[in-house]
Amino acid sequence: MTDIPFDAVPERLSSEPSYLEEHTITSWLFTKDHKRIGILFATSITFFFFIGGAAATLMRLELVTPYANFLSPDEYNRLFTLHGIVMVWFFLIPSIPTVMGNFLIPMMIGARDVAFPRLNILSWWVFTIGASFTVYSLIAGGVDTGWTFYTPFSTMFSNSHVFAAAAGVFITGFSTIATGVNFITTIHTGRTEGMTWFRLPLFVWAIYAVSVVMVLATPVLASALLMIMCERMLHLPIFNPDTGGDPLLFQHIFWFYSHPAVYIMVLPAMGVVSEIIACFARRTIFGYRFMVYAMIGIAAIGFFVWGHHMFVAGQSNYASLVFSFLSFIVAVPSAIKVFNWTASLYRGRITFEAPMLYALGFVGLFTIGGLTGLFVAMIPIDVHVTDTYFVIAHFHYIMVGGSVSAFFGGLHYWWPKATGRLYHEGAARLAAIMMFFGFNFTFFPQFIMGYAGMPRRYEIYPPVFQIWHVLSSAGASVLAVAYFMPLFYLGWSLFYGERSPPNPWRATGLEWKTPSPPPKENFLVPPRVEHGPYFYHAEQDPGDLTEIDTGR
Amino acid sequence: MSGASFITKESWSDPEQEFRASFGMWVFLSTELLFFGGLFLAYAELRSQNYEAFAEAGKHASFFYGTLNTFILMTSSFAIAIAVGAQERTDIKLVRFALVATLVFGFGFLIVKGLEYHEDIEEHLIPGAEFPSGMPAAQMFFALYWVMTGLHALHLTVGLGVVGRVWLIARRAELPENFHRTLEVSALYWHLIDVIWVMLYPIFYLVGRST
Amino acid sequence: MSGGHPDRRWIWKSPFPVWLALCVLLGATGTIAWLPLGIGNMLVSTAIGMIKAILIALFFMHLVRAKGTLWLAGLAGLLFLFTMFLLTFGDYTTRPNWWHPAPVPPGQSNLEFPEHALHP
Repeated sequence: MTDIPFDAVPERLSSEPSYLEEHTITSWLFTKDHKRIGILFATSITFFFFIGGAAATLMRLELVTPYANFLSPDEYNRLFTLHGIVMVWFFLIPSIPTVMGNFLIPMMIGARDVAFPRLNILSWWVFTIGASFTVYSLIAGGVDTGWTFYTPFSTMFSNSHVFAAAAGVFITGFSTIATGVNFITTIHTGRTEGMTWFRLPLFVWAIYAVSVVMVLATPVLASALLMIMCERMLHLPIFNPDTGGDPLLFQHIFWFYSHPAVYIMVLPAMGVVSEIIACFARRTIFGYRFMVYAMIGIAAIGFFVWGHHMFVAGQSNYASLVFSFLSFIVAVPSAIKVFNWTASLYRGRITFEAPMLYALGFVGLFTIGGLTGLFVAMIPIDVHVTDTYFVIAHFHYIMVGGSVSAFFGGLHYWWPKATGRLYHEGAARLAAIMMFFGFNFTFFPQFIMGYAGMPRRYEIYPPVFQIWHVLSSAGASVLAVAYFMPLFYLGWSLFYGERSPPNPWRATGLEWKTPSPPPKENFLVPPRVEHGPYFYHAEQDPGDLTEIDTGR
Repeated sequence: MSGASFITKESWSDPEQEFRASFGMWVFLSTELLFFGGLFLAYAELRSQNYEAFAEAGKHASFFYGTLNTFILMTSSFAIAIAVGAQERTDIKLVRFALVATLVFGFGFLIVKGLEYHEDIEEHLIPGAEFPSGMPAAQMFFALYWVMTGLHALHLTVGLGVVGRVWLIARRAELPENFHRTLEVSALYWHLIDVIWVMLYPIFYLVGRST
Repeated sequence: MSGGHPDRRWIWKSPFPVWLALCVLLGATGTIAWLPLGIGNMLVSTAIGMIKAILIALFFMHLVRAKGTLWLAGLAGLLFLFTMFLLTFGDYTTRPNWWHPAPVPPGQSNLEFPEHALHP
């Protein structure tokens, strides 16, 4: 073992060229390297994040006054549908798994690559093809069904581009499935010597749990969308009430996917946050095993609660009771996780670098989102707030406050590893703080007006709600600035940032035991693991956390 | 990084390498199960709401072609099982023969399916104004019939490509070292197509025969 | 995964009885479908279909001799498929008009909520 000084430039020490060495276009588009595929996905989803964000910006602008200003009701419908479809399927679901999962999973388990590298690049291509269908539906004029494609409106009445949008989502589903199959197989068969199941970092467990959900839920969405496409294009009556068909059946099949899809968005975020909190509190994660069981529990029970989206849809009361009860059950493992993160902070040496700010923001916002989730799991309250801004605020707290915060946290945390450059810490902290405040200003007023009765999906509303809408739009402008900032300072660091040492955060985990950016095959020698993750605690002797393993 | 360089690297033990291909395929088969599962759920729910109409509609489906195709597909599954067994005992001639048999039965299935679709179209069994049965819900039976058998035929066509590729590899003078994995994994996919059909047969071809 | 008997005759001896059983079951289900058993027709044909699927999975797909992890991969799909059916039918079968459907006028769904359920 050679000790490498903290500020050493790793390239000089390693004979292996880094994975970023080749510069041709084809070396990127047809790469089989999981790290490059992660970067490809990062580029694609950043593009879609700003498309979805642009739609949200237009909506928030329109909602500043109670009257229609520059959008017709039909255009407004198309905008919120666009925002939903793009953000759910082209940003949130692929975000952490395909970017950070691809980049990190093989490194965290000490492997050279994922189990099926060719399937991995195929997944990105399928994503791109699916996405182009959706982009086509946008250019052609958009879709007005809402992201949920509810029948019979989507099959019999809507005259917008439902088919192209549904086809795009359908195709993208195969990309999700390919990624899920790849991760499950990689984690089962690719772990290096000594990396037992209970020595896996929690991020790996999170990606494992989410891959199971992806593999088992996504095909059901595919079948629902296939039936919609057949009914629309080939006029095969399935959900058509005229022939005895059942529009509510679509909701059952759709939510069997789409409720677990919420966990596809939030489970990886939980993994990211566990890594960051352990690192910046310099503590092992409290109750590691329970964190694992909680994630598996969330993934499994998450499949049994979909009926809480259908309390007012004409579902039987008895089924509603069961689904309500199961929705309370699924909150238990989520609560365990929040308590364990908090307990992990206890007596830690906490520092507030940008990733930690994002992670702490996640814990707070996820808690609010989760607790209001219990409100809407109660049938009487749900009947009151169904289709109001209360629901909008609830799921944005989970998805934007939770998942997007964690995505940005992870982006900053692993940025030096992926690019080999350091970013400007002050700018990053400012963006993190602005994101937290901007987010709360945007969405907390929506809880209040939602509870007071402001329905979702309308551009015209009673003037009494205007104060809340103005607050919300003002907050959204802060949020927009906070989302644009990383684009600039991270872009700047890419070219002018200081070179990063192998382990700038002095973190544990195999991904930090290799140069930044990592060599093509991840490690200079196959790593061996002798203990569990999160070896930060003083009594556990962290050793010199800055060394990289060169095998000498 | 090519697949071959993977195996020679010391950190990957060979048993894991053997295992990962079939494990990955089984995970994918679970996915396929739920893909068809959503359609089966739709069928079950709509039939339970429209029991008599589905029985009425079921009489129009072709019992002869359906049964014949079940037999053909089961036999093709049998053939590829022979191919896997022969490969394990290094009888490459029998492997080639069994793969050709699988392909022949597979194409046979598609031909019979084509004849059946032709007959259905002649009888106007397509939901719409010219649909013969008086009960409106009978159209839903045929809506699901077209979606599910069509999707199955699509899977079978993909399967023919997969098995055809294995056959092309098997014809080489020197087999690649991972040939047995390619064959086993492709056979798993082919068997799944058979499993799906075995479940499609009773719900589309045996409905309403006794009434 | 090489396994099974080294004798070459076993190439045929293992799958052939399975194929034979599949053919017998196909004959049985094809015949029973024409007997007037009411709801029994559906139950028998579905049960025989499942038996055939299990035979193919166990013997043709070699689940019999597979490691536990492969069973896990296969059974996970089956388990969640079962849950999907269970909870969806849990809804439909507990609706007030499931067991005593009102006569449906032609061209109308029988899934509408009856008046007494809306205004008790």
